[in-house]
Amino acid sequence: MSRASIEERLRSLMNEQEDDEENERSMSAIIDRLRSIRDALAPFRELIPVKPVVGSFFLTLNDSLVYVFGTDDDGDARALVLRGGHGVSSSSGEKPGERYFLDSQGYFRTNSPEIELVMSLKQQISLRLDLGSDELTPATIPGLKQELDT
Amino acid sequence: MNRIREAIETIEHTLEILLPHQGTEPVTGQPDQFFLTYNNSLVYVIGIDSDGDSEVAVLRGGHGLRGMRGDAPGSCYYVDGQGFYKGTPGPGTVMSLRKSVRVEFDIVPNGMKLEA
Repeated sequence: MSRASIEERLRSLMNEQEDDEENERSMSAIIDRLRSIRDALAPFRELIPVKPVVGSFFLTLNDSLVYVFGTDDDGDARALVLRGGHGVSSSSGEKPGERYFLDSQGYFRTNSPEIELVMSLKQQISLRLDLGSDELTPATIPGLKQELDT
Repeated sequence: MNRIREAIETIEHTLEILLPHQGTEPVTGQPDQFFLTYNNSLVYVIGIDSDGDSEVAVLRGGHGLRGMRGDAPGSCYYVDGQGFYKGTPGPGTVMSLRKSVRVEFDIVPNGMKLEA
């Protein structure tokens, strides 16, 4: 499944959820929603996520770019969405700037089989900062310039 | 455990339960009454709050998803004014109210017998 088709399906699910919040429910609509979630997750059925590493960048199953910035007391990782998101407004990790939780295996933290699982970690990536002619000021960020120079 | 595969299997199991009831709707909760849910759990409506939602106690069954209301006997959850499981539509929907059941209490000298 292409990224474009996944994004299209996510938009469709998001609209369905918003409709559901506004209107009366129906069994047929719930069945359709479950089918959509199943079909959206199907391409990743056999995929095992990568474990979160604090201070690292990752691509998620739906190719969102996220940064793992810490852990909580339960051992769950905390991630910040930089690009993408799952698009579900009622859940954390919807869009850039939002934070969400990952379990120690790299899965989006949820008790229910939801579309948000597409924010599980697919691949750790390395980013190189191109600072150009600008130099970091060691007095402002101790140690960082030396680390980048080595 | 592959949680993506687990999620897909949970959804497929939920669909198996709900599909025979496509086109039907749940029944509205009534206080102090017993109901069967779509997965044949036996539940009891404790009361209705000011929003029209019913508080429901699981007596037998449950949806089985740990960490979510209504997973097992003894757990309480809410259904909305239509009788649908309150929350994001999903596997919990099998705990929506399918039909009310009449329960007769037969008081006997040494205890109470319940016949559903």
